[in-house]
Amino acid sequence: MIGDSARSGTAERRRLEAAKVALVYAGFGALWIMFSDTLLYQLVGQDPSTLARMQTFKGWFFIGITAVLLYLLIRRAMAAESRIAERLLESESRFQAIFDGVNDPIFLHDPQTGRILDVNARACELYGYSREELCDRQVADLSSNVPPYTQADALQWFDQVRRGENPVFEWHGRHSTGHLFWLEVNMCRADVCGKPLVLATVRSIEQRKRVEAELRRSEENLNRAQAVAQVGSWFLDIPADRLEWSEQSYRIFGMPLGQPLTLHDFTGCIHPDDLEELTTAWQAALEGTPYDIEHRIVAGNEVRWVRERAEVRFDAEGRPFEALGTVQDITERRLLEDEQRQLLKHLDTVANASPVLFWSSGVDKGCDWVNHRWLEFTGRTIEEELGDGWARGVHPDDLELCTKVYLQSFALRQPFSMEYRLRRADGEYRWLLGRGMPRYDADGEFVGFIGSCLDISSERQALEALWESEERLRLALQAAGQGLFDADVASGRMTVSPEYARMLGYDPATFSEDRESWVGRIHPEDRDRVVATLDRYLKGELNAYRIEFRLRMASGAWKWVLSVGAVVEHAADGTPVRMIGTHTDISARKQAEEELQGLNAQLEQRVAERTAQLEAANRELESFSYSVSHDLKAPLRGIDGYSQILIEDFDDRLDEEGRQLVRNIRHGVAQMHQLIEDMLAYSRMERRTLEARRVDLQALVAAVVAGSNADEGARTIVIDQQVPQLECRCDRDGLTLVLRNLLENALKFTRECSEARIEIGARQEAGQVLLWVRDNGIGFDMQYHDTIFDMFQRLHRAEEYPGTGVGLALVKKAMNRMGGRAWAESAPGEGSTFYLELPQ
Amino acid sequence: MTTEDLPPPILLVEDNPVDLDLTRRAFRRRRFLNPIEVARDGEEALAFMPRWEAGEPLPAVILLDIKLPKVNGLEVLRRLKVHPEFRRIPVVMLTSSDENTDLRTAYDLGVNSYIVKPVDFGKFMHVAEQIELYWCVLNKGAR
Repeated sequence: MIGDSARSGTAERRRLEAAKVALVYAGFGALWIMFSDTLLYQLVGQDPSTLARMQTFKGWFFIGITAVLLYLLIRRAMAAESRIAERLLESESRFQAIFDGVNDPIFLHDPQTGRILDVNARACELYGYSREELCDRQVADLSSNVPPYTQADALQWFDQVRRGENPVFEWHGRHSTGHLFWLEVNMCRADVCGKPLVLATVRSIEQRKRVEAELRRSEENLNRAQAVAQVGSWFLDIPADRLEWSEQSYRIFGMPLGQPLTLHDFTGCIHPDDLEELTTAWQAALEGTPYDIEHRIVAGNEVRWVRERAEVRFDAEGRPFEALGTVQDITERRLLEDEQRQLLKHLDTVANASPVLFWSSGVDKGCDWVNHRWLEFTGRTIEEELGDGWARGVHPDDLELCTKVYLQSFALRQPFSMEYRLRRADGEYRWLLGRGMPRYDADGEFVGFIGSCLDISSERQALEALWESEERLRLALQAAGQGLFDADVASGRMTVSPEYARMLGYDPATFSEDRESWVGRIHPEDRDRVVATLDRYLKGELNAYRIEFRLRMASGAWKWVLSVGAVVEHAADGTPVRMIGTHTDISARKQAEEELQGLNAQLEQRVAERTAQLEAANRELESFSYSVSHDLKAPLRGIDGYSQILIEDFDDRLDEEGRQLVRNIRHGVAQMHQLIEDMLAYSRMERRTLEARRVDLQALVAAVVAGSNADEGARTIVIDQQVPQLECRCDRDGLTLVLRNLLENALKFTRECSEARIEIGARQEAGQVLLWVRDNGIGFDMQYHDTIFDMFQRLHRAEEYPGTGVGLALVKKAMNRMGGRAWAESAPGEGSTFYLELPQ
Repeated sequence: MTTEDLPPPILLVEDNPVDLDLTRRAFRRRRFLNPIEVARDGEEALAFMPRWEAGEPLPAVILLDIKLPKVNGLEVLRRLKVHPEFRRIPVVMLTSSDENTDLRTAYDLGVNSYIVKPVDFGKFMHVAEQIELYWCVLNKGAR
């Protein structure tokens, strides 16, 4: 390669040399042309043949001369050439020796293209390629070829060299094996044979890089470690007032990384309240006192707690010249501590305000603290209570147990709970529920016990009272022959009293019951009913659980029990948890009931029989009265008929007395006939089926009045109808009969009045309809009020006021049958008012 | 006098001798031409049916009491009224009963008239007169 360039360097010279030869040749040629003919004329003369001949000789001569000339010239030129070549060769081999002998790998590049022109042996060695292979490759092929180590980057460096600079830079090279390595490249311009080249000397800096990476890693590790530990480090050059911070320190102080610092920058971050303390400590440190303080800093907007430790180094003369320190962010710890302190304070307040007695003991088992309440309770001082002083207040009977429990729990480090008596300030021993548990410090180290005591004297009294009352209840139930059960609703487990078992013929000692066994004990006929009732009660669908059923006894016989129970405990969501109840033996009662039922059945049968008899009697009576009424009429008809015939056909044979007698017979017949008719009406009223329908009273009364035979003799009769538009529900015919009877009654008993005033009225009254028939007739004494409504009862002689004595009885009967009633108000001579009351 | 010349008879079913006598007297007083045949109980009344079937003249009207020995009047009425031919004979209940049930039953069975015997003899006479006038003179029976 070097030879080539040398050769290209000599080409110019050779061109000059060749031009010189050509010029000499051209000059000679020109001189020949200009002067050869003249010279020939002179030498030979102007003989044309000779001249022609000579011309030929002259040509030959010219050729010979020029040939000799050319030979000389070329030989000279070649001699010079070979001299140069020899020199060149010598320099080239010398260069090559140097080139290859240099310890650093060297590349020669074309400054424009960056093409590799030549490399030395070290370069080949470095890259693991042969010279030819290297010269074939681009810079990129020999680089990691990632920015900034690409072909383009390389060309920029070449540009710099072209501009006359000598850049030194790092490069990431690639070995033939693909392995990447770090280089330092030193580029400079070199003119070889007048041609500008770029000479790149490279040096492997792999070792240095590795060390650097190592350093960086360890620095990073340090930073990371500091970040994790929240510990920063710093270094202070005291004479230079130069402060160096680790990254974590910057972070802690909230300063931008890498900002140059002085001691002043540091003190600027200190919380104003802590500055004095810090300055004092630092001054002391400069005099040899260890520097270890906690203070606040203001990092940005935030106040942080830091702990600082430092070591100050002194020079031979005892002057401080540098300091190395750490700074640790302890904000969180301080906050926690504050919180804890606050909490402890609260706890202390609570403990002292609490009605509960609190105590704690140390690892030596001795009491090391009690709260105020304790002291108030015992009326002693804290000093008296500490150690084992507290035990002196314990009731002598409880001391042994108390001490034993405490020491045992202490040894096992287990919580304990016990009840014992402690003397109160007033000398009374109170029952306490004492609890204790081991306590541990933050590191999990056992540091003693802590405990509480609650005065439970009143609860104990209540409990004792409860025990007593429960015992009493048990005895009462026993006495009453009742068995008690206490059931856990969810599990169906039951606790039962001895009477419960005894009632069923079991030995209480071996008897156990649960829901399943209980259900199994129920009589199959009762089972579904009982289970359903219980379940409904438990679901809240029934207010009470109270049911009678049969239970199978040990003997297999059935026993009637009354089971009564109630849920006594509910869960938070309202579901029943516990149910308590009793079983009462009701066999005797059941037996009595059965007997009673038997008797009732008998009674009912007897009643039914009697009723049937009565009904039969009624029927008989009915047909009797029916028959009597009918059959009575036939002879009556005969008497009437024959007496009539007697008067009509045998008139001439009867005298006046005889005729009067026959008339009397006929009058008796008429009376008897009326009586029979009334009795028939009455019996019909008793037997008839009533039809309740809506009846218009106004219309009904009008019809009754219209149908009455009101024209009686010379007297004036005024019938006043005071019936408003009213409806009532009743039997129309029944009411018609009643009103007709009352109206006839009124007409009859006003016979003596010159002006008979009869008022028929009605009004609505409290869901009832009240009707009345008022007259201004003779009236009656109220002492006979009830009598007048009786059958065949009369207040007057028949000849005064004819009647059968059935009319008012019929009224009363009809009113009763229609669900109403009838009554009267009257006084002798003052008229009467008959009232009727009917449901509306 | 042939049967053709005689007016059709009246059948009187009555057990009570007094009523029977009074009825007869009443009819006689009205100069009643129709012969009166008498049945003293329900059985006797029913015994007429074979005779009618045998060709004896059918009565112009049957006066029937309800309360009768052996077979009561309503039963006699029922048997008559289910007979394809004799159902056409007019039947008048002449009875003491004015019970609604008797009235209804009689009409349900197809009675032609229902008359309650008046106790008063004058009225009774009047009734007899009306029966004769209506059933034997005015009314045209089925042949």
